[in-house]
Amino acid sequence: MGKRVMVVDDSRIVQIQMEKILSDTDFEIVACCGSGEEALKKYEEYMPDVVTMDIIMPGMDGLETARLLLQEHPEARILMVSSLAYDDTIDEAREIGAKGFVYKPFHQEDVLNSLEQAVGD
Amino acid sequence: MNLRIQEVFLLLIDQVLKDVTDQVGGIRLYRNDTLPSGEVCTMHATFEGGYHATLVLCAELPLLTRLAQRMLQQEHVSAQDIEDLAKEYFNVICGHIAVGLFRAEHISSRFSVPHASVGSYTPEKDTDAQSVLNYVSDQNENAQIIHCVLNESKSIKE
Repeated sequence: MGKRVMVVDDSRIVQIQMEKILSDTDFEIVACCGSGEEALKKYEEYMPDVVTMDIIMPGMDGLETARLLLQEHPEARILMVSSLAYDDTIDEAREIGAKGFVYKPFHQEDVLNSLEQAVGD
Repeated sequence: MNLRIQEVFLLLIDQVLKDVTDQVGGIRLYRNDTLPSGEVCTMHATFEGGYHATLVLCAELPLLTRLAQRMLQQEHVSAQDIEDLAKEYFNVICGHIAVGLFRAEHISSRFSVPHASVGSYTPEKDTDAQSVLNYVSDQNENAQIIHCVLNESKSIKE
């Protein structure tokens, strides 16, 4: 059975890209969320093996969402996927407990390697 | 607003726009003096935190259509695909600019969720300074980026 992924990104384009990248792999997208608030609700419903999380989103940003998600579910594996990848942001993501950081625009290999690493930790 | 930082920001805009367009769609952009015309889409976002500015990118639809086709790896793209692509493309551009600004000047900034809509857009006048850069692609599609430094505590209205 494939690893279950929840994609959190307000961009429909990123959701489509992720579906294409993960098709025919050991990963399966079980839910897509367009906001942090939606992600907090859907996580409990789907209990995915790994969550990909954008940072710049309407309402709650991805870092705050990751923080709240990990407070409630310390077992959650979160992979940040963002173009806002400077030292402060990466440090903050690491401190929160994110498993990794993928830079946008991303390539299939980066996403797959980072997902493998996140679920393997 | 420090003039040198504005200059750094402008250099970053130029480099990032060219790099991201190449990375996302394999499309090369070159500086020129031709304005976008015909059907265009306009994207904008406001930088906050250590740097206050609004960035506006106006691009001809054929350029964004090609980017959407490359990004989605499909020939047919809808008007909605193009608008969504424009938002994500501009999101990546703003992110790379914020990263570049941090690396060059150690200024930590964030930006608002980018907006995109079909049609042109004129920045409001609550700005201290505006810089305009024009581009043409390898297939003669035009784009224009406007950098507006915001007055204290003001932002460009949606």
